[in-house]
This record gives sequence, structure tokens and C-alpha cells, in this order.
Amino acid sequence: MKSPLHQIGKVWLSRFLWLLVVVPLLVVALHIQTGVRWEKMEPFTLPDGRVITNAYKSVYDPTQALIQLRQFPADLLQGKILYKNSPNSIGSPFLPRLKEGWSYSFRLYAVSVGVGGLLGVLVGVLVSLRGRVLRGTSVTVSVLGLSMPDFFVVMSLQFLSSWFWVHYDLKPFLVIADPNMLKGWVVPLVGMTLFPMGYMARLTASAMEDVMQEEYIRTARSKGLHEGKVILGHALRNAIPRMLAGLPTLLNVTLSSLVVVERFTVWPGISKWFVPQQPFSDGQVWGVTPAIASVAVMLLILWFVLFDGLAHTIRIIYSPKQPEVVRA
Amino acid sequence: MKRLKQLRLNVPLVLGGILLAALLVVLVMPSVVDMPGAFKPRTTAEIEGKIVVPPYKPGQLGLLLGSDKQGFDVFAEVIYAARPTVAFVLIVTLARTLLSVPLGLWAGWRRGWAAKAVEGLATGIGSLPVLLLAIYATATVQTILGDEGRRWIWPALILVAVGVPRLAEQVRRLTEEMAVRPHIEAAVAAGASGWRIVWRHIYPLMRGDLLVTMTAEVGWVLLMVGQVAVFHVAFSGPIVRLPGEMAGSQMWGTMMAFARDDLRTYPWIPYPPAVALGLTIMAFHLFAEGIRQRWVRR
Repeated sequence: MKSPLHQIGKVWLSRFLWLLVVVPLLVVALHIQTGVRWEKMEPFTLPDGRVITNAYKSVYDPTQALIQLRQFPADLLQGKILYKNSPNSIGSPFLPRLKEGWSYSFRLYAVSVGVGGLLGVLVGVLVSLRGRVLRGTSVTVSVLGLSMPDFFVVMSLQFLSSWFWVHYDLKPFLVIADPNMLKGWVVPLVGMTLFPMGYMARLTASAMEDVMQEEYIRTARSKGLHEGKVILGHALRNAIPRMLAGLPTLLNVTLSSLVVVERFTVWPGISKWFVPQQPFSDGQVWGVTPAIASVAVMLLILWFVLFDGLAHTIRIIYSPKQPEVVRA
Repeated sequence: MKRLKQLRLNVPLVLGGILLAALLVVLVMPSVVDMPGAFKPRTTAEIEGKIVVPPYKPGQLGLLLGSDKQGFDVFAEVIYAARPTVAFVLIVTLARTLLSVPLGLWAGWRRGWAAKAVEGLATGIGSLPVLLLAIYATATVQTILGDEGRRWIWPALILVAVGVPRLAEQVRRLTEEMAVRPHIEAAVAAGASGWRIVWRHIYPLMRGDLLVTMTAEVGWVLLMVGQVAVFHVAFSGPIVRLPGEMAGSQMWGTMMAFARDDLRTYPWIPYPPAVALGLTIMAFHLFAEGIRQRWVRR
């Protein structure tokens, strides 16, 4: 077993090297995927007899995209990445917008991980109790939390909200998220909390099951200690290193989920800049240009790698011998 | 009787089994039931003396889940889309399994640089947002190659590529755990070849774990198909089908991707494929959990 310092060094070095490889590749991909030019098509007839005369077809021609790609590093270093919200606008600096979007994204992410993680620990601890109903319920909750896809949860809540509004004139929560209102948090938060909850519940439950078999738990019980004290004071404390082994996966999957939930609920985070727009038929691109998408994606990847590295560092510090749980 | 009782207590296995049985019925339905609504759109209809145009609401014109904006029956489309969706996901999972299991077994047994390479790849891919990698790779390839032909092959290859390192790493770790067991040491001492030890003595021990992992993997691939669809990246089928074109050329993800913006105005168009995807993902995850609880012993 290598020393914790060696392990931490390896974690950060490997991530840094991956960043060096992947980020340029993604920037290139984001630019060349918008290399589309529109050409007018010859008139054609549909099977139902209609004649189409004004159709355009897209032709892949990356010349313009490659020019933009060459300009990108210089624009980035000089802070010249501009956001244009119309073809004729002169544009405004993108970085302040990105900062604001990131703060919204981070708030949602932090609250989801916090709430989901705490609920997961609670559900996981309940599994270690002796009551069958309580145990069964918590197992079912954890499995459902892991199995329900985020987009399905979000769409269901949005559908439910619309249904309540149409049938009862009630709005229990907002379909489109609003970070400034409590009701606006419900849909994105529920969509993002279920996975961390289910995952943490499973990790806690399996760690607790192992710990509860230990001699010192039997000793504590035979001494007549209250069951709550045995679980919280003895078992949970010793289960923490194993729970931390799943932290990297928990943070990574929740961050991926953030991207999906933000898109679905129109949360004003950074995800709205991830997909560059294809050029319009007049060749103009405004809104999310490849340069803007590249900067936003670079920020997300940096965030991803930083949190992944931190999660691994915490895991190694607390339990250097415990390998990471790749997926529950 | 005792076995039945154990099965009844295994809620995930029973729930997952019921959902998978329902999926099987959906997969068989196009061969048994005639559903012309998937092929012929109703471009106009008369309801209570008024001429109406699609999309029709659920229940209108006898359409259980209504119609899409072109007039195709949403229910029939969801049923027809089940086959390409499940086929795509099974192909990806099978390819991941066929590549990752031998790779993981080999790396776990050989150790050294092979193990380091698998671990490094898994760490690298794991420390990046795989969803975004899949989205950008798919969008780039599709833009360059166009929408013609077998549109699903490249996305399938990309999904296989991003999943193999993690699975291989799981198999490698399992192999390393198994390799220190006494019967393996005995096999080594008896002079058995590495290939024979891996295939005859290690692999059989991890079949239960692999069955759980691969069942859950189908759910993870389906999840990615759904998540990618959120970004309007589709893995199959034309975006707009012309009247009379083959039904079943679209997947649930594609249906959901291009109707996503209708959620607030015509929720019956994007919601059914999302439900179908969601329930299928749940079915595989629950079934995997059930198998784990019932058959995998540590």
C-alpha cells in the first residue's frame, strides 16, 4: 500500500494530465460541430403530392469554424469572448454572465448534495434497525432513489404541476425553476436529490451492516447501551470511512445530473451555454457561439475535476486502504 | 414454498420482474396487434362538426395517448419505438461486456502495466463528465457525417467507448480479489496456465456479480440515452417522419428529444416516451438489485 501522500499526488497528477488532453479535444469538437453551411435545394415532390420549393439542406463546411477555432485562444486570454443576444448587437463580456450562472449552478448543486447526502445517511441508518417494516421501507426508498432517472422525475413533477393548475387552479410548485422563490426550487431539487439520497443510503446501509457484525457492537449491546447510542455513537462513526469511499461517484453523478436538470427546468445556471448554436441560413451565429460553449464547458470540466480530486483526497485521508466504490 | 416466501420478500426482484414482463409484452405487441396509427397520420379530423388539426388530445378520435403534431398515434409510436430502443441498448451493453470482461480479467490477473493502464483509463474517464463527452462526440460525428444512413452506429460506438474502462476496472478489481484465494494459489502451484486459471477458476466465481453489473448496466445505458436526448441529440431515426414512412425508426430518446419543448403545451407528446424510458430504467435497476439480494452471496 502506497503512502496517502503518494496516492493524493497520483490523483491530482492523473487528473491534470487528462485535463490537458480532453479540454483541447472538446474545444475542437465544439467548434467543428458548428461547421454547417446552408444550401438551397432543388424543388422536390412529397409522397402526398405537395411540391416543396424553398427547402434548404445543410452542408458540412468547417472553414468558418476553423477560423473561429484559431481565434479562440487569443480571445480567451485577452478576455474578448463576447455574448451577443441578437445579430446586430455589439455584445457584452461573457465572463460576468458565466460567473452569475455558475453561482446559481453551484447553489443548486451544493444544496442537492447536502440534502440528498443527509437524507441518504438517515435512510441508510434506518436499514440497520431491527424493525422489518422500517427496514423494508428504507431499502425500497434507496433502491427507487437510485433507479428513477432525473429527467423522468423532473418531467413527472412538471406534468403534475400543470395538471394541478389545469384541474384545480393550484400551483404547488413551478414548472420553470426560479431560484428566488421556494416554489421554484422544488422541481430541480427533487430531481437532483434522489440519486445522492439513494446512493448514500445504499453505501451507508452496506457499511452499517458490516459494522453491526463487529465484536465491539455486541459488547456495547451486552453492556446494556441504548440501541440509538450503539448505532449513532459506535456503528455510524466507524462506517464513515466506507461511506466516504463512494463520495467521488456521488459528486460526479450529481454534477452530471445538474446539467440535465438545469436544461429541463430552465434553471439559470451554466448549462444553457453548453450546446453551441448551428449557424443560421444567412451564416450568422449569435447567442451561444462555439467560443461561449467552450468557455462554459471548460468551467464545468474544471469544476468536475476539482471536486473529483477533492473527493478522492478526502477518501484517501480518511481511509487510505479503502478503494473507491466505482458504482453502487 | 420457502423459496416462494423468500421471493415475495424480495420487493426489488418482484417489482423489476413485473416491469420487465410488461416490457416484453410491449416488445411483442407490434407483431400481434395491428396499429395503423403509427404509419398513417391523421392530418385533419372532424370533431363535433368542427375541422380540427393535430395534435389531438388523449381520448380524441379514439387515440389513447393522443397524437403528435403530424397526426401520428403517440401510443402506437411508443410501442413501435420500444424495439429499436431496447435493441440499441442491448447492443451497447453487450459490446461493453464483451470488451470489458476479458480486458478486466486479463489486467487483474497480469497486474503490472496492464492493471495500471485499465485503472488510469477508468480514473481519467471517471473524472470527466461522461455525459458531455458522449453528447459532443455524437453531435460532432453526426454533423460531419450527416443524418443519412445508419445514424445509430457512431453513438453506439461512443457509448461503448466511454463505458468500457469503468466496467473493465470493476472486473479487474474483482479479479484481483479472487486471485489471492487459496484455490487459485493451488491452481498456480499445480502448474495451470494463466488463461485456464482465469477462465476456469476466477470467472465462475464472479458470474453472479457480473450478472448484476450487466443488468444494471442496461439501465445506465438507457439513462444516458434519455439524458443525451435532453440536449436534442438523438441516436436514431429522422427528426420529422414523412407520411407512410416506417414506424419504429425512432427510439424513445429521439421522440422525447424533439418533443421536449412541447411539455408545457402538449404534454402528451413528450411524456409517454419519457415514462417508457423511466420505467424501463427502473425495471433493470430494480431487477439487478433483486438479483443481488437473492443470489449474490459474499
